[in-house]
Amino acid sequence: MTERQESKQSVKEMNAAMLSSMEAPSRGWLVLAAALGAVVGWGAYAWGLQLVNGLGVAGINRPVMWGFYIINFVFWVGMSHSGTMVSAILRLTNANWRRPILRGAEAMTVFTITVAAMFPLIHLGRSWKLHYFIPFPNTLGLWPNFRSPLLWDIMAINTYIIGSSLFLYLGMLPDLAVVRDRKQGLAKTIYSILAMGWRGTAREWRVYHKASTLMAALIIPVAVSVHSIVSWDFAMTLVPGWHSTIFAPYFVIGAIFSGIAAVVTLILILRRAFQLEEFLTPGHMDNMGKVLLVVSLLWSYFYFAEVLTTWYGHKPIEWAVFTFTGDAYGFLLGLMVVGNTCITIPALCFRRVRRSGPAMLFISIFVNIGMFTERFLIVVPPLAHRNVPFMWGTYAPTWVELSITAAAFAGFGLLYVLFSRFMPIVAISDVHEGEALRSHHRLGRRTVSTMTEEG
Amino acid sequence: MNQAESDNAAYHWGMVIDLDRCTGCGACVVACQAENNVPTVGETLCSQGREMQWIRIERYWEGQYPEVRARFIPLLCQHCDNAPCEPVCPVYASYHTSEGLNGQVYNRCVGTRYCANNCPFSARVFNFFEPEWPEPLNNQLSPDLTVRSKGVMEKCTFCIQRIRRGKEDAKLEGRPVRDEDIVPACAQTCAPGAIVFGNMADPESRAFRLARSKRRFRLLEDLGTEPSVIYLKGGGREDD
Amino acid sequence: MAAGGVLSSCTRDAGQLIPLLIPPDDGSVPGLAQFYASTCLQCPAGCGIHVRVFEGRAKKIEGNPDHPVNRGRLCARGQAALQELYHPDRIQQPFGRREREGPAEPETWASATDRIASRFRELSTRAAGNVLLYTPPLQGIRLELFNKLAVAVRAEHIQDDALNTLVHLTAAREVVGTSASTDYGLAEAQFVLSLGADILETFQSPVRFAEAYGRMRRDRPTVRGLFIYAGPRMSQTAACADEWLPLKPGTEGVLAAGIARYLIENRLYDPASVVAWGLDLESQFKVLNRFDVARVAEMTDLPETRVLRVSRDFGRFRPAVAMAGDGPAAHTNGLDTVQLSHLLNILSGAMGQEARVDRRVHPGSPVPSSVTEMQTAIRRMEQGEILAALFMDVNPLLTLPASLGFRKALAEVPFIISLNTLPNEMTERADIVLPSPSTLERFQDVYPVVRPTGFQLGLAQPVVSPLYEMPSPEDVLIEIVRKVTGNPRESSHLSRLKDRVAATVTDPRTGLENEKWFRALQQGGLWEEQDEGTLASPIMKSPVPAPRLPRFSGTEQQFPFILHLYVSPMLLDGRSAALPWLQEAPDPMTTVQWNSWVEVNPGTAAQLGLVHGDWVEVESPVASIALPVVVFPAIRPDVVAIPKGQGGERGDRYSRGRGANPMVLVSTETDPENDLPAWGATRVRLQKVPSRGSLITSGDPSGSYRGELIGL
Repeated sequence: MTERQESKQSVKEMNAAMLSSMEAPSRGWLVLAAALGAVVGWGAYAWGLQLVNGLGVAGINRPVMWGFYIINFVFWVGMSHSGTMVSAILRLTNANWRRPILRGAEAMTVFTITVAAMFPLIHLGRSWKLHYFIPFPNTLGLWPNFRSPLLWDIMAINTYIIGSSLFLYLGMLPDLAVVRDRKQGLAKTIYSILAMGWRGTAREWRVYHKASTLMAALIIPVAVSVHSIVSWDFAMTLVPGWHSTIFAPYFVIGAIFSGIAAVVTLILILRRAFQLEEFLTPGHMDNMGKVLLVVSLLWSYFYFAEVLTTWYGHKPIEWAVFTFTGDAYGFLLGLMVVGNTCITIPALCFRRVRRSGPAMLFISIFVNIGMFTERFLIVVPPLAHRNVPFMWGTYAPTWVELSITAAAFAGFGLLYVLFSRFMPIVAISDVHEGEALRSHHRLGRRTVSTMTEEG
Repeated sequence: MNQAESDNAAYHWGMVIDLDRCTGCGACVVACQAENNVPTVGETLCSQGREMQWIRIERYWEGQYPEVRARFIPLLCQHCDNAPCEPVCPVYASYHTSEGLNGQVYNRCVGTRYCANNCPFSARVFNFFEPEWPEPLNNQLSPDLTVRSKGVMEKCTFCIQRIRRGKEDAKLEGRPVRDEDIVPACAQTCAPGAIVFGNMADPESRAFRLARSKRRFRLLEDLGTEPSVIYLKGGGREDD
Repeated sequence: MAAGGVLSSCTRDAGQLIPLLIPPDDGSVPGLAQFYASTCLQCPAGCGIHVRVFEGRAKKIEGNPDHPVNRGRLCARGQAALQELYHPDRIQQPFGRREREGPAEPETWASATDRIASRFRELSTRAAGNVLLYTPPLQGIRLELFNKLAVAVRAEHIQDDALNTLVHLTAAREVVGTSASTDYGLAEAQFVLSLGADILETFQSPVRFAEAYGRMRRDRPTVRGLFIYAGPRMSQTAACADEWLPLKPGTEGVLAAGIARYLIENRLYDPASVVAWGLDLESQFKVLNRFDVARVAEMTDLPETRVLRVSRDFGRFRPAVAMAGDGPAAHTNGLDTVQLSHLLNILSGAMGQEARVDRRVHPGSPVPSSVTEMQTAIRRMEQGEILAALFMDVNPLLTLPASLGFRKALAEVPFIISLNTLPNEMTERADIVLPSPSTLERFQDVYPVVRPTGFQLGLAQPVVSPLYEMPSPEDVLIEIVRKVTGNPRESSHLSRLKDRVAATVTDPRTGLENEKWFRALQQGGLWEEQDEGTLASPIMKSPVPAPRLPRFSGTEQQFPFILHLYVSPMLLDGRSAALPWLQEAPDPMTTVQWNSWVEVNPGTAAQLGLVHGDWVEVESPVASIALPVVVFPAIRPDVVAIPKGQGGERGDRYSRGRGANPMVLVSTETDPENDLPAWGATRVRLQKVPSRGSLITSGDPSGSYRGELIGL
């Protein structure tokens, strides 16, 4: 009845397709990289100006001592939950459709967390004193203060950067070997070093799989802890509107929410840019859409719980913060609720929406706009209306903060563009593995794919 | 330093501010600026909320015309025993001294501004720019303390240079510090005598005795920060 | 070795190091602060100060604890005098201008004084009154020297009464027979009624009064003195009061009359005082008869219960003190109000006790020029009759009502000399600009406006070596007089000062003359500890006349609001506007910084569609200015208030082009019967205009209403 068919493409052809991005750079690539580089340069100029003149060039003030830099920090840390979380969860649950998107998602994690890590540095009044954070033995006997959530933050971010980089690198080893085999000259030497002598023996594969699974299992608690700690930067304070027990899970869910949305956006872009339609099918989008729907529901539930408690308690100062948010930032509040709840939840209930590229692109971008707004609304209004009403104020970013924000997006893009040029952006070996497990069967006049579960 | 230890210390500096005496004149604001090398920032920066004054007079309105009242309350660092600004500082720039003061190490400060966010009294000010004193205004700068650079947090120190001087003088003369030997600039200049500074560990000090008044209250007491500044409620007619 | 390393790494010139072995002759010791006693000259209060000097630089000004005026306390303005000393825009040397408003060219002192003296001599030989000398009300040596100069050059001398003390001096003369300010002993009082007297901020001797206020409130174990304030706007002083009575502008006297009538009618006066002062109760009652409670309530627009209560309390509490301030004094009936406040003190028994009028004839008593004298001088300037004018420490272009026509008149004066420490409107127009040392670099004899008993004189002395080499204004005057008269034997400023000190009443406990001088230097003045006792024979002019109704310039239909001008608590009439500490210190009531504004009642603002920070054109019958609005909950709906002090156009970097000068709005109403100014008697209207900038307040406008959040 059924007849196993040979894979339509040879391994070589598949590799060529998946590594197409590593060919000689196209004109478009150069233009894009140059444009992104220019924006990053502009942001660097703005930061330089801030270093020379002082933080006053930003919009922060008394009482709003934290502004766009911290908003960006939280936002980018949130985005970084995309990759690793998605890839780790999918790896652990053996979701086979994960394979083509793994690399992209993991790389995204590394780059977003790198961008995120820049912001506390930019945010410092004296960035050149960063080493004060580092616990190193010194004659003065001075240590950083381990009671401070900011120090926890630094530890967590560093752990996360190291962990996610290892995770990415480990997953890339077999692919780097493939690239090595296709390169000549100096490039071959470099990729040889990077591939660490991968030969593809059975033992290597066994160890590799074990390590991947282990890393995946380990990275999830790190990711959860990172965003919990980020939330504790706020929740551990006495600031009305920040001091809330729900913040840690709320932030984690928020991070996953924006992270998954970012992965969706990224997949859609990658699919288009590298003609990966074959590997990233509407089926994948459908699955991601379902995940996004669940997370959106969770986020909305957390937000509702948070607001309900404040409203019901009606504690004067908290209510003052709340009404101020509505009065001064009503538009942003609306934007957030629309982006994160009102559009996302109903739309994602429909299979057609989930399988539509443009619709998913729109929703995923809107979710991240909503999440950026959410971070603004978490950071700014409670600071603007703290306990002493005489010192209430407002905040708006200046061109410096906006430039640096733009540079952050551009910088992320640039890292990605460079990565796609020099590293295998699609997890070749994983795809092959998937292909190996997939067989095509002819059923009457139709051909269907089947999947063998990994054992 | 925990509570028990500081209870045993010889000094625990505190301040009593009698709102019934305070006239809201602002002399303390200028006194503090003169004493502590606090810069003026000019109109533009004031409009951006970047004033540097360590003490401010808050003026609150109550009621409506004609039954309207204005209330003044001088607000400075409250030198909380349980200060929220201290644990959040990642580099120990904000710390607690053994005499109950809320210290700020300018050299150590990296400018995270976390302490300012966590200060419920908004008592901390940040050097958003390098402070400026056009020549020859810089001649006025006191050599007793530093001029803070950009990117550093600062706030009221209870005139720590005066505390040190008072203690040194007492030591040279071989005697303990007497009550009201040490007077911060704001208390010294206050015309109606609304501000009284003293050693709260000394039951004989004027500040300690005033602090037992029935009119006493502390700002935002429910937050449990244990401020060292004690306010005495403003009056008003009994038959009002 | 180590020290050598440190020193060689030091980039500073060795010339700036202070050698420890051979100390410099200014007495500075490295690392040690020295305190110099002096007297504050920022306002006429004459508070005693200690200046902390460190290695030859003045670091901080503090109140002198031994000084009887301020007892160790000091206000914001007094402390900011340091910034006058070290002001970056100080005039450092004489300047001359070849043409009006032309570029200023440096001149030597000799040539500048030569030019002035020869011009003065030439003009005075032609006719008398060709020269105008224009100063604030002077005392002591300054007055003596100006009198000398005026005689020598046959000049007219105007003593510009910018702080409006003339009404009070006249009222004191009318009621109790001495032109002197009253010292209110608030500390002993149980009940204080302020009729628009801003005693805690700007009125006469604010530090002295505020110090006493503190004691009145809380220094007595069982008594807390009560404080009631009556006035159309809640000033900082009014905000401290237990009760604010928002009465119609200019009806403070009516309230005082009502209280006086109530006291007499209900026999709540102090009989001994009435007898001692020779007050004829019957005729006084007759004069005030129509001011019963109901009528007073109607005239003042206060509830009857309030009028009744304040009257009853004034009779019930002893001691009870009443005082009238600048606001009511600036109305056409200002004299009546101040006189009636004295009547209240006589009735309560406070006059001569808690309300002390210094009745000694004092060498320093100021004699401000009357309105007629001012107007005449300005008219003569305008008509070209004044051919040279010397201005010292004044800025009439800012502080005089523009409608007096001073600006136009000034343009007609061919030769203008201006003596000032900092640049201002006058120095920018003067043909010869002479700098004067700051108040911390010169000697001056000071006679506080409110003199405590036994006070002889205050002494201001140099506390640092002068920043720029220049003679004191007194020495400049002496030099001019010498050159005009050709008499080289005029004694110097310092020897005159020593003579003054020597001539003071001698304390029996000290003997030597020279010791007195050193004591004056050490203390910053001379005063006796012992009380001089109460006045032997009180006299008064009785009865005190009933209050007239105030007149206003402009009709109520056209100009619905009465303009309430007040002296800025931080900048005074503008004389402190150059000091950045004071510009940046928030105004106590509005918390505005670096600006001026117009205060509007919330109801009125709502009617006119105005919100905080909107801009309005304030238009009076004579002029208009644009200002940002402060919605001010404690002002009558029919009144708008503007602080004086800002609006300088040509001065130093900190005050130039800031805010608007409300004196341009004032139409020159007067009290013609008494020859007194009434510069608070103008009506205005408001018109919303497009924004011309932002209004900066240190306090959040909405948060300012949420004091309950911090338990206030």
